[in-house]
Amino acid sequence: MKYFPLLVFIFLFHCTVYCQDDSKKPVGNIVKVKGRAYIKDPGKPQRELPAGDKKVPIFAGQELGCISKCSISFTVGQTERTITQGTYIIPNLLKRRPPSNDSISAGSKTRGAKDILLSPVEREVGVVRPESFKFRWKILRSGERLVNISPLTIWLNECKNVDNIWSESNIDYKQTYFSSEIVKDLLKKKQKLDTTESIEVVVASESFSKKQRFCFDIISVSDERRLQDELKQSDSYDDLVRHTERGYIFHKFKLYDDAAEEFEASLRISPSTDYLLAETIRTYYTLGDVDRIGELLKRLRDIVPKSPLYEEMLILTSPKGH
Amino acid sequence: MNTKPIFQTFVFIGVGLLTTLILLGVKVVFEQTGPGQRLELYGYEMLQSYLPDFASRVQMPVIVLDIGKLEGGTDEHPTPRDKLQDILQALVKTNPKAIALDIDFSPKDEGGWQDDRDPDFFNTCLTIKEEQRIPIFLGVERSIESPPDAWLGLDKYKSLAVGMRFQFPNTNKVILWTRPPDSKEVIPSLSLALAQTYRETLPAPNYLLAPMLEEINAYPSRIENLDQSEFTVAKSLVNYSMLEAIESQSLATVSPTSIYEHKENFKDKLVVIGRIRETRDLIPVIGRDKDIPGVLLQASAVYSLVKFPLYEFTHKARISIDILLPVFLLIFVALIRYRNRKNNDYNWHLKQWIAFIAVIILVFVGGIILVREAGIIWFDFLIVIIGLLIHPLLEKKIGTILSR
Repeated sequence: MKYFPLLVFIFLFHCTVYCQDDSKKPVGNIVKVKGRAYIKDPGKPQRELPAGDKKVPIFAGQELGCISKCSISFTVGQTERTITQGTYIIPNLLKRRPPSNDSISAGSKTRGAKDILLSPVEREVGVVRPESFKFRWKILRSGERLVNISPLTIWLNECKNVDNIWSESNIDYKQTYFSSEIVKDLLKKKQKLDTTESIEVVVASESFSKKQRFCFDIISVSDERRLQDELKQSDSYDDLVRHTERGYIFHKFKLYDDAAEEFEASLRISPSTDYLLAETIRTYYTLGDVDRIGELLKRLRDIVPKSPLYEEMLILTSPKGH
Repeated sequence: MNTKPIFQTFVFIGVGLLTTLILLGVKVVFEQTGPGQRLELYGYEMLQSYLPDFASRVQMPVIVLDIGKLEGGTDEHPTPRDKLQDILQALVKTNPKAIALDIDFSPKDEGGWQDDRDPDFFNTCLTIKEEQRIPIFLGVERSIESPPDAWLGLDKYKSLAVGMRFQFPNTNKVILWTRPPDSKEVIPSLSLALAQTYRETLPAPNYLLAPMLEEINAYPSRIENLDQSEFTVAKSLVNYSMLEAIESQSLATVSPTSIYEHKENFKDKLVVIGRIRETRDLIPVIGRDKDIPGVLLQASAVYSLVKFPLYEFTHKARISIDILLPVFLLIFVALIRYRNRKNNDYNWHLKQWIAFIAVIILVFVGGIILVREAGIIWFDFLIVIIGLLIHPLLEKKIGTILSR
């Protein structure tokens, strides 16, 4: 009993430090302050932010502003902002969905773990070829269990004016991909001579709370001709070299889906080649295929567990700081 | 000898009941398949076409203000808040019942306001709400699964936030409310929030039929699970019959003067502000060839909840109807068979067919009357008709097999 007051003190101290609700968590930091600036908590008087102040945590509801000529650089979540006049009230951050695999991150910056389509590759990340075009999607899991997803509906629209050009419903989610000759012909017709053509893909399912949509680019006719010329040069090689060379060529032209298929073909012939595994991981990283990256990383670890190549792949695919 | 006709009648009823149970099992399984669901949706589309599709401006409780002419409207270039503020101030002078904006005002995914002027705009909305007593609601989409204090960036704005989601890809239901994970608070849909300002309670179905119907408020909530994210939602059927009428009665203007000139159109109405033209927010609706602007879906959902809600039978009610219809028919045919037991020339098979055809017609007409008069969508009425058509044939087949 004589230690009871001490225990109460330790508990109260612990609570003062740690027992704060979520709203008291900082949502960002002050990066840089120039001139005379202030920070103000709701319902409290403003206090001056010392010039050159760094790493001061900021909270939702606080107000930042200039007293006289000033510049305040700060972060809110992953966004960095600078204000030189007026005020900025700090908003709360949105709750981020946990990624489907907590040890690997992949895919373009604008699309996340909740985006289901892996192929076609998004505009400004890569391009697609009508000849080999297909829709490929992630198989979602909750722990070990597969998430049951209702049939998919996929639309293709003009990217500029959203005019629908093709759609297909009741696509079985479990088949993991969908390919159609009609779509290939349609994309062929849309292909332009010297520039890429953008098409919007929209995917929906009764299991999704909203439609997922993004634009992708079709390779230009002239680039495809150059591609064919380069591909021809590798025709005479043996299978392993030919598939690998074709993989590199497709990768160079940003045709990542085609590159992945060629590297996979090489891996079937030579499953333990470390650099091939690494190239395939790099390609799937661009495509955002977390599941396949996980499988290939395990294979690479089994072959060269302490190699710089394996370390490089781990760094590439590890979740980036927020 | 006297017991033989009775025995035959019991055998007939037994075979009929067995047929009914087999067909019921097949129907329950078929409803879960893709073709079964398509047939149900086709039935839904067909029944919707029998709903009244016109209401005058006076009768219509909702009006859409089309702001398609305003610049912006994308994540990169949000709709200018100062222009929205001018529009709101002009609308308030027309004394509308309530105003909702079909625009996503959530903070950015990566952090920060969608537009730096958002807090000022939200403060204006709160002031109008408190001083003018005109409820204003702002749509949120990205933040809907976040805690309430993040819906519109700060806790003080959460009373303005409303959801904008529909069930996809079959948009026949609106998400009435959403409860984010680890939260006790629910975010109402735009349509529910507006409807609750128009009338104290939502319309109720006929009290005789009510026990057989899914209630609007107590609609079965469901845990959505995608990428380990779980949130609870409730859904309600949407009546799209007035979609074209709502579009034709919409006003496309962004000028405060013009809004005030049309003040009679907004007085005591529920106003939904959004883009009909120049929008990427296009959503497929069953029974419509082209995708429809989201704001028209919201307005249709408002109309449904205020004026003409749609209901559907509970699962138990559907099973009961599936059993009772053939059982009544069986009893009827068994009775006429028994009454004419001494007449060897009596063609009871013909009478059975006539009875089944009569019931099929009754189901078809009943489906239309139910939707027109009581707003009840009998989703599986086409499957019931197919089942009734198959029933006599299957019953004959089973009878033949058993008699061997």
